[in-house]
Amino acid sequence: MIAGRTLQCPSCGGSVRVHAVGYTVTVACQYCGSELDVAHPDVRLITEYHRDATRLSLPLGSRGMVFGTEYEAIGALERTDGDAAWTEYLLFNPYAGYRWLVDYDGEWTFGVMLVDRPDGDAETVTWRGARFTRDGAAQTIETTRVHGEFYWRAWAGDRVEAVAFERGDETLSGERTGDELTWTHLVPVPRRDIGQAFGRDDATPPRVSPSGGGVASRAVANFARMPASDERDLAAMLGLAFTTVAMILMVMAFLSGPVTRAYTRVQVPIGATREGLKIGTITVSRSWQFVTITADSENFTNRWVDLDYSLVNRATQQSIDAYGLVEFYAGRDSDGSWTEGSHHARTLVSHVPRGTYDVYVDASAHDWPNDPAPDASNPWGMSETTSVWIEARTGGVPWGNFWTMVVLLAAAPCMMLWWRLRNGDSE
Amino acid sequence: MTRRLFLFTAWCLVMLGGAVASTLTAWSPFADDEREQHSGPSGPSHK
Repeated sequence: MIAGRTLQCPSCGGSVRVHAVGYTVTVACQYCGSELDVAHPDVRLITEYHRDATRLSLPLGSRGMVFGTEYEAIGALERTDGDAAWTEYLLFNPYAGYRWLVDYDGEWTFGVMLVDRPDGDAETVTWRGARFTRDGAAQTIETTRVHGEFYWRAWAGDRVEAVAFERGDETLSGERTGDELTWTHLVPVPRRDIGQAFGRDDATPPRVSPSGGGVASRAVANFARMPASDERDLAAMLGLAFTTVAMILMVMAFLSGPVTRAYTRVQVPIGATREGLKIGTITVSRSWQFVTITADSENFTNRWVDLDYSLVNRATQQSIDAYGLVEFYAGRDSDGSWTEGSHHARTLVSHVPRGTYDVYVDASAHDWPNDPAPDASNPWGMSETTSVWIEARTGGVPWGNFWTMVVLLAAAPCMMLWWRLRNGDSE
Repeated sequence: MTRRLFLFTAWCLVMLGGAVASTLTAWSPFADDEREQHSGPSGPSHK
């Protein structure tokens, strides 16, 4: 996955592999420790050493999955503040970029360089809505040895002024070199996870902290779940999905017009059919439009009304057909009373081309379970009817399309949320 | 912006574009076409 090139150390002749080609500026020879400048086509010797490479707890070139991304350890800095010493590993992924993994006496932290800087003063800073409090005084940190490759000119003897701000287990580390101030967000990670991720069972054993608490904490537990960036991603994705859903609804509502309407009331005979009833005339003025036909009936029970609509184009006499059904039932059983259906029906006719349409309906109503018997004493009398109010209009929101898009948009963030809650619950 | 967020943004734009296209062409797979000729009588499905 990670491409690279090999060059020859000018000092010892050893083969030195460069992993982040195009980004790497300096490389330390893994055999003699000499620092090489690879920013130029001809490799230059910066500082010549003749020493054995230090055995690192995380060998350079080893790869591991960290927070769902595979990184390769390409560089290491041995640093000290005068009292303590630690090692900072530079991780690289060609798509995700650079990350840091810090080994401080067996306590590991994972660091992400910040693009958005914290705001604040010397005592507190705020970053992405979270408040961090200063931890200790500013320190001078010196790099004592350099291994591997880096995207800047890394030297043994480099000094930076560093200050740390803490919030729970998280740390914001600011390092100043000259006029440049860089910030890194650090979260602790368990040693065992580092060992598993990079296939190293012999990672430095943890130092026992004065409090005895080690690094077991909420943030540590989060290592196996998701990093802070994932949580921000989730919030951003949910917000993005919500915004897109709102925009889709507006698009469907406003682009479906213009609207013309036709409206009528129909007396539908029970047990018979009335054919060719004209609802009215509507005009489709765009190339294609939806036509929505709604039917509302009187308050009947145990009855259904079949509605066969026809949109007849006045110019071509071609017909577009659609179907609607109003039905409502009620009853009582061992579980109590029940109802089913509605006195309202909505019919969506799609892809109706431009033109003027006469809207007709064939309507028939039926009682359930049987139609009423004819009145034998008055065979020519009017049969019982039920009233249905029908409105046809151009336009309308295609709710099936809308809810499908809502599901498709919500699927990814909901899966992430489910995964997060599932892993959180399992701990 | 992470790669995942970038991809999801692209997905949202695809959905929005789909909404515009389907509305302008008045296309929907959920339209109420003419009922089937052999559909039986209605009635409650309550058991």
